[in-house]
Amino acid sequence: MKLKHVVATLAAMSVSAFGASITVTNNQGPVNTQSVVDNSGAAVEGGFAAIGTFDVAQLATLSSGADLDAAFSVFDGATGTVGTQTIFSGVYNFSNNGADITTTGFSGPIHLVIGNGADLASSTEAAILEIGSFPTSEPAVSTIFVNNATATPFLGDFDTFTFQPATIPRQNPALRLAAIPEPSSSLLIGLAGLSLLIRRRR
Amino acid sequence: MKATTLKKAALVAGSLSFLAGSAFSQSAVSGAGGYETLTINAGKFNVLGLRLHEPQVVSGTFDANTGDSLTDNDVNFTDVLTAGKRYLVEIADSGTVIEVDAWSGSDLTGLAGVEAADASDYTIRAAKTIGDVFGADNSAGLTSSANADPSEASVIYVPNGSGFTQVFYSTLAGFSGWLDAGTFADATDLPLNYVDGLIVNEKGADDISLVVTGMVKTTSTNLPVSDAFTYLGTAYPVGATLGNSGLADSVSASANADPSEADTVYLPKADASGYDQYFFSTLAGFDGWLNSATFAAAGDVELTSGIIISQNGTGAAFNATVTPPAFYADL
Repeated sequence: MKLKHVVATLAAMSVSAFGASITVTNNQGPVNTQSVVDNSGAAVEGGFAAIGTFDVAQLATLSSGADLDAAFSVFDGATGTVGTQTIFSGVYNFSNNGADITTTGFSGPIHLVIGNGADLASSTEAAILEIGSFPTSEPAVSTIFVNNATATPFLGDFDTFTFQPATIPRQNPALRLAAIPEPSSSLLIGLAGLSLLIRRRR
Repeated sequence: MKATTLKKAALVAGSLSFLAGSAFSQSAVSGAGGYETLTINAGKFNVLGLRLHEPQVVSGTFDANTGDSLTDNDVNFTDVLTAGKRYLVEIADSGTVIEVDAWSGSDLTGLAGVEAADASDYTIRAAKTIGDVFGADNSAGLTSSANADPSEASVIYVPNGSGFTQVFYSTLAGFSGWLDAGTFADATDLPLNYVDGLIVNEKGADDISLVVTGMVKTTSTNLPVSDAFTYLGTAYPVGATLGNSGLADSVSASANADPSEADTVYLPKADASGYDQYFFSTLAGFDGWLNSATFAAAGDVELTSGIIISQNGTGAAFNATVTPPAFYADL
């Protein structure tokens, strides 16, 4: 193979590298913010949030914060805290480190994981949401505003609670964390079947 | 990425006066010049803008226009412009910057998006090139490749309207110099428009100081914002802030102080680790330029040389007009 062909081949393989800077926030100001609340409806203070990839197959068997932590891979240092920022409570705003995404190995859906503890392992309540996809084009910068119109929850729920995020009177939907362990659908079905058997035997 | 202060001594003295040396009275120009040093952070994607410019070659008033041409009957462009180079036509009143690659006699031809209002006062200056900014021999010191392999070298991303042209420096015999990473063609003379932001991905271990020299522009500039993220240069080397830039007159604001409703201005952090984000709010009590994360007042935040504007507002492309700080009128 001629040198220029070798060079061209190498180039074709190598020029796809790019950097990604992804910001994730639910802080949409005094009017539109949808806060994160715990299972009692109180704004989460001192919680943990991160984006990355969650092994959705592990959802049915989660039984602790440690399980959640083990099933989640953080993207390029993209972690933050959940709490009061400025005057808005139950909010988060964080970014990754802007690395070359080809070195991080992340692709496909972006999962946002939120816990009520200082990290996932120590959390007793959590939410898991799909909020978009990792970029696939050249230098990428994006901000994802997380709310009930943009995110799909796997664990936790929007709309169950409303919450006033700031001083301007406005009740918004909130993201309610769910307790861990969260009974899986299969476990619930199994329990329902067991209860039917017990009733029949009586 | 960090923009250091323009060396005001040179700026105020106007010591870098350039004369075009043309027989045309319109073509003799001078002004304030100087240099600024931009930091290219190692291992990062650095958004840079060119805020010092080539000297004016000619200025005057266009007499007529068509949809793709402009005419100044007082100037023979064939005599004052150099074939093969790209020039930037600056319309004084509107701030519009039009790229021109062809001309004949008194006509600038093959132009895109000419409007009737462009037939007014203008100046023309050459566009800087990759070689002008980074040195034809890579005197800037970006990491090069001995194998003509862009994965080994620092890459300069130049917006081309549909993405980026990627340029790197090679020292491989037969493939040496600045090369287009897609075609391996010589990119030394690739023109750069100062309304665009450049991205430099430095692959080396050490930060690089890039010294940019040129003239100060003292008239307004339209930065064309597409319907998504647009990388832009901020045109003015010192003193420009969100508040005095005039950007608030162009971008979409939020009546709810909600950054998701407004256009977002991304300013790269000094270490290129990410971006600080700002938006304009009209909500009483939360009005003006605000930091999108902290909602702190941000009117005094200084513009970096390169910025990104995200079109969150109307969803339509628009011109973001930036104006020079007031003291530029004295230059």
